Amino acid sequence: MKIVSRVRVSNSMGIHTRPATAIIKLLHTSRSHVTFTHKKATVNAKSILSIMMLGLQKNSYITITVDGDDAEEIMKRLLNAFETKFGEN
Amino acid sequence: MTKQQEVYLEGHPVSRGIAIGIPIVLDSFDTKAPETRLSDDALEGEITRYRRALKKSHDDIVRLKGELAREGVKDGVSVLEAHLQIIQDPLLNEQIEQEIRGTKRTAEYVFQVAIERFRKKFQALHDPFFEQRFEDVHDISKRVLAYLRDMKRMHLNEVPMNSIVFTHSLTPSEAAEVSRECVQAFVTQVGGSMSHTAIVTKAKGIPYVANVNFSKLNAMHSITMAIVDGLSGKIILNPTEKTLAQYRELKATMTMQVEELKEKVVNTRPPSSGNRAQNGIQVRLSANVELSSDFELLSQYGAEGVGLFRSEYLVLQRGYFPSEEEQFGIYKDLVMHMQGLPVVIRAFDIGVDKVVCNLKGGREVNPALGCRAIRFLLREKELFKAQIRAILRASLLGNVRILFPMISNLHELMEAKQIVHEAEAELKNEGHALLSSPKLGCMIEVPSAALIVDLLGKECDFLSIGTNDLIQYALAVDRDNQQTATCYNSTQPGVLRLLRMITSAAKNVAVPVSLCGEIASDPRFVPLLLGLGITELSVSCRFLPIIKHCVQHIKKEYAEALTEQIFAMKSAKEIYETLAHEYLKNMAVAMRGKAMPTNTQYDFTMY
Repeated sequence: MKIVSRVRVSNSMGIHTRPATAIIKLLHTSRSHVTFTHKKATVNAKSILSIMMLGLQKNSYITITVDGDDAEEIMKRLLNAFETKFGEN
Repeated sequence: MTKQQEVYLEGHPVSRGIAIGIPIVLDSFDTKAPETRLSDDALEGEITRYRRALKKSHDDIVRLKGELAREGVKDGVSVLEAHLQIIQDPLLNEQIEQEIRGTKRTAEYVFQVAIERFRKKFQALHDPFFEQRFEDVHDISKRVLAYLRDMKRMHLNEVPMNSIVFTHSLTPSEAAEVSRECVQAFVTQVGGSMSHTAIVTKAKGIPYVANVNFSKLNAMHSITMAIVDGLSGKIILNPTEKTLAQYRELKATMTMQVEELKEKVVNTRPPSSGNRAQNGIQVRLSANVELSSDFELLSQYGAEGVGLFRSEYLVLQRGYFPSEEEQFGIYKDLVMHMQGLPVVIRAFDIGVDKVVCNLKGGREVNPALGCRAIRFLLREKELFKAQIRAILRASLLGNVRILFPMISNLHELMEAKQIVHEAEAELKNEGHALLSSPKLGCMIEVPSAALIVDLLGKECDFLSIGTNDLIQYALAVDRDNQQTATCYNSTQPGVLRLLRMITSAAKNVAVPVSLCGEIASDPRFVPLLLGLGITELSVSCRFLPIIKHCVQHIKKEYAEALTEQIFAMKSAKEIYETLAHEYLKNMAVAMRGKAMPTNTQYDFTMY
């Protein structure tokens, strides 16, 4: 199953090292293929370097694509992590 | 012993202290790997070699993380957690392996090219905060490359006892990793006194001299011994027996005195009302604190309070602003440690020099005059309020005060106070029990604030002079600029007049003044500061014994007379020499029970 969602980065410092680490850990056990698309770049969301190199600042938008048999669950958890600002504020 | 030729090097003194040891020159890992072409049947072996280097680096990080966790350095643990994720990144694993196969080049070469590509990508983000994140990648790449080169990488942790480490540059994590017994001192080609590495070396008490030209060192055939003087920035290679003997004695005396003083100070912890001695001087001796790992030192060194908690280090270590909850936990810890003694928490003094400030405005041409501290906080009100809320909540558990950094006019102070009032009202609405409001203070570190102390003093409960910045702004001198370093002079009559202007205006409006800059930790300045009527000195823990010792041996009349004498002088040099001379005359006697030769070029107690 393939799910696509658009999400806004709401934590104050954007997606820097710590939130990126949180994303990688969250996806660690996922069997799905997950990508983030920002502007024209689409990257593997299981690569912390790729996520950091997107330079996602506060209020930027990204498109999340999850493709695989646990897509629904993974998307839910990702959206929740973005929503709760990765526990920052 | 054969007669050797002494060689002198000089650099920028970052962390003071004297070290004598065996020089170890660590290679810079930034040299480029040659573009060697591999034969087809060598490729799989090359990939195995690469995997092994990654695995070893991975294991190093795991070990280091465990070490820090045991030491309770939570911030370091979270950084290394990210490093672990980076080293397992597909871009450093599958991707590199594919490239080795595709290009038929060595692992070193492919790896270096990849890292360089990442560096460019991070740079292209044009956001200083994100660009800074490349440091993590760089840190890891050095580790991997060292293993790849099959060079027995001398881990900083593996250098033998009593080493003086000479290296191109030093990352904070490298400095944090070393054991004090093995590394006696650091000497680097690049670096500055405002860097994170500087803070780490100072906190660990490791002498450090930066910005040293290594050409003389590289030209030498053998270096058997080195002396590093972290106060003057002087390095002596292959010292003669005579020089060595001088420094050995100096070092031994210093060590002994520091231990003696520490013993004394801890055993005579004064009442919480401050250092009210028979000598007529009442001054509180507090500590400057940056890292939560230093909280333990506060009682060991007999701090009578925390005069300055530099909260911005919470942000710098993490790379993000900790949440209200996380901050509350740390402030609570600190307040509990101090058991009712005053704790001054300074709001985030985030500036461009300390990485993050201009995260939104882009790179600033003149960061020292840019958007930092209160200017930044008043722009990012949510962040500011979250911090104030955390401090207010911690204030229930002890004696907490809030200090606003870099105020330059009355309006900023009023706005900051407004935020505190709003935060108080919010907390009350949410059902938090708040006692009386904590005392609020204002940093005096901008000349325009020094000129309106009467106005600022009426609107706050205490003032805190930050001499490091005040001197820089008053003299228009950047102290990390090698061209102007000698112009950064704390004894300029202009600087001293500014200090007196602050203390006398504060006296008129009956507001206490503390001083938390570097001159507070220089014992030669103590009589002058007391003579000016400063009521609290705040210094790093390890300087508390010497400063306390000075205070106990100074009479009020003496301090005031010396201050008068100083203010009649016209030159910075004359003032400096008078302070140094007076100090040696009085303190050396008090300290040793016998006079030290006043003509000695080493005023050892400075270390």
